[in-house]
Amino acid sequence: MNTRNLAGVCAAIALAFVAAAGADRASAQTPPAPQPAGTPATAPATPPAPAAPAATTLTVPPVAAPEPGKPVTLAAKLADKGGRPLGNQTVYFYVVPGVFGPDGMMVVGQATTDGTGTAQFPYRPTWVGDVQAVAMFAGAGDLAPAQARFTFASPGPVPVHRDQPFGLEIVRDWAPAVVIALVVAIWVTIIIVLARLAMAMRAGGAVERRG
Amino acid sequence: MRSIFQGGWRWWSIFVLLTAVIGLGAAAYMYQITRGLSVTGLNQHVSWGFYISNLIFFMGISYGAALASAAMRLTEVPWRHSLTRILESIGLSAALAGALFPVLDLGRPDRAWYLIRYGQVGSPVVWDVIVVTDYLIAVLLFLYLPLIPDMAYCRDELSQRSGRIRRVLYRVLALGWSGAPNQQRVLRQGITTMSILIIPVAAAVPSVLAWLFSVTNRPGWDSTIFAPYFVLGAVLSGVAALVLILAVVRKAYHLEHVVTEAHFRVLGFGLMALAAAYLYFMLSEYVTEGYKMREDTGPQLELLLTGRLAWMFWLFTVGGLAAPIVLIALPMRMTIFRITLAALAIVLGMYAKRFLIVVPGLALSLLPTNVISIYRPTWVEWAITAAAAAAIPWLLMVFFRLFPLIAIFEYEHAAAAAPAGAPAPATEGDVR
Repeated sequence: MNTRNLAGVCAAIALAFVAAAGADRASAQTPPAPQPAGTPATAPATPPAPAAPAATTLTVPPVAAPEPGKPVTLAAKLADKGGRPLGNQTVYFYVVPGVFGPDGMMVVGQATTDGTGTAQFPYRPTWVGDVQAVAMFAGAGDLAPAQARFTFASPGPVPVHRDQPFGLEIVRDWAPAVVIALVVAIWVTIIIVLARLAMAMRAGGAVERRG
Repeated sequence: MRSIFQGGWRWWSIFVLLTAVIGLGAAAYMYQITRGLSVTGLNQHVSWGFYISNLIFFMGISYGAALASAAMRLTEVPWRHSLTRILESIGLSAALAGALFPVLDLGRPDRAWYLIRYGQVGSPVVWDVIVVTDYLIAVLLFLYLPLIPDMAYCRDELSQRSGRIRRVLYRVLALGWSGAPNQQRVLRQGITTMSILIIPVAAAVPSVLAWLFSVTNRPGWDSTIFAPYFVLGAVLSGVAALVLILAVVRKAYHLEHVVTEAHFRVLGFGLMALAAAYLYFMLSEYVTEGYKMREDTGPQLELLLTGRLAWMFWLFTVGGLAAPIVLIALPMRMTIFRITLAALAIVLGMYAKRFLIVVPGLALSLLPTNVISIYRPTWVEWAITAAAAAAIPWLLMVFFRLFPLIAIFEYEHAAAAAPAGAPAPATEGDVR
């Protein structure tokens, strides 16, 4: 069976499903599909196809300019086709770091929509500059999935991590300097030994020449 | 001076054989460079296998040899003159062989530059780079300083018998030495300073290497005694390697009058004491770990004591530590053969011990699944390891073809300083 025949058979089976479903649905707008050629009239009854999911929209309000080191509030509003807010749904937030390939997305968090259809998530950016982000509703029940891409400016990374004081800060602060001093002392000793040797060799050679 | 002119078919046969082994290792490394680390047995869990075991082993031999030489010089052991040159040359050649392994383990050697460019002072890997670099310079100088008068001797005495390249080499390396009292004084002070300096530097390298393990939260590595444990292991394997090389050199260059059975007996007693101390450290480590039996160290102890690696662990403990102690301590006369056999067992055992430190700590997963990774070195790792092992005698053979095997100046100086009437120590020249 070649590819075209296979596609034809698949299309015929799909149309049969749609036709069977359309007969059961009172609100069906589409006319019943014609019987494809070659389909026996006494074909066995097929299960009803699921209802087409209701379209949803996801809109992202502009992200307020955050302060350096403070979290950015990522928000997205989920609504149905008529603009009515959809509450109690999960929205995922991603950023596109650009290091996992062109379509790589890294999930950074999720939030549930409230009564106004808005999901909010506090996010701490880890790099400076424009951050590409995606809000995504994966769909639920008879609600279709939706996603929105947006960009916001990150003012700076999170501040450097500092351990809690543990009583040995003076050791921690001075240890690198002590180690560097030790390494320098080793090199200075080696240089002094070589320099003294070079001077002695020169002096010895001069004595020999005079002799 | 015999070593410089003694060649012959035996020397060349061994030299060609060792060169072939090194060549095979170089070819294996080229294969690894082109295909990546996937040609080794390293995997997601065991990322340090033979290569890091080799690093610890070869560097350990180097530190051990350098420390032993420094200790002999500082304590002015009267029989040191026959051994110090050999010890110092082992120190340098083993350090050169060992220092390559971190780069081999990287897979992409160009990334070694990243350690310098992006290195953070807080990282033990950076500490390791710093101390190994310091140590390489220090051990080179430690070998070179006592060599200066001997270079002048070669320059003055061998100029008629040697070719142009050697004449230039001796003249350059002699640095214009004339034996003036001021030169002798400064050289003696320089050698003493380097002997003092090499001890903390050489002790720092195995210590930092040990901290590389012990600051990592892995079963079997999380130990506070790792630094002295590594230093002791380094001295033990260094002295054992010295005994082996000394036995070969003595036979090959007919140095029976210079390196006597008495030297071996002293080294044998040293080996016995060091092996006993190492056994004590091992006991202390495993007893305390076993008593606590933390959730993560339990499987590691089981792996070593009764599990898949138990054969190696017990072979090392019994064959590489206990048996050599017994072999040396036997009441009958201590022969060179017996001491050399004990040293061979210790060298092989210490290699196995380094493997047992590195691999089981990584093979055990820290996830609740308790998966144990299997690491089997491939022919690439075996070939590179064999090449590194061959590189040490190869470097020594080349070194002793160019430079005197025994510190002639120091030897003659000691003979001149000996009390009147006392027999002068035999020199290498007397052997001819």
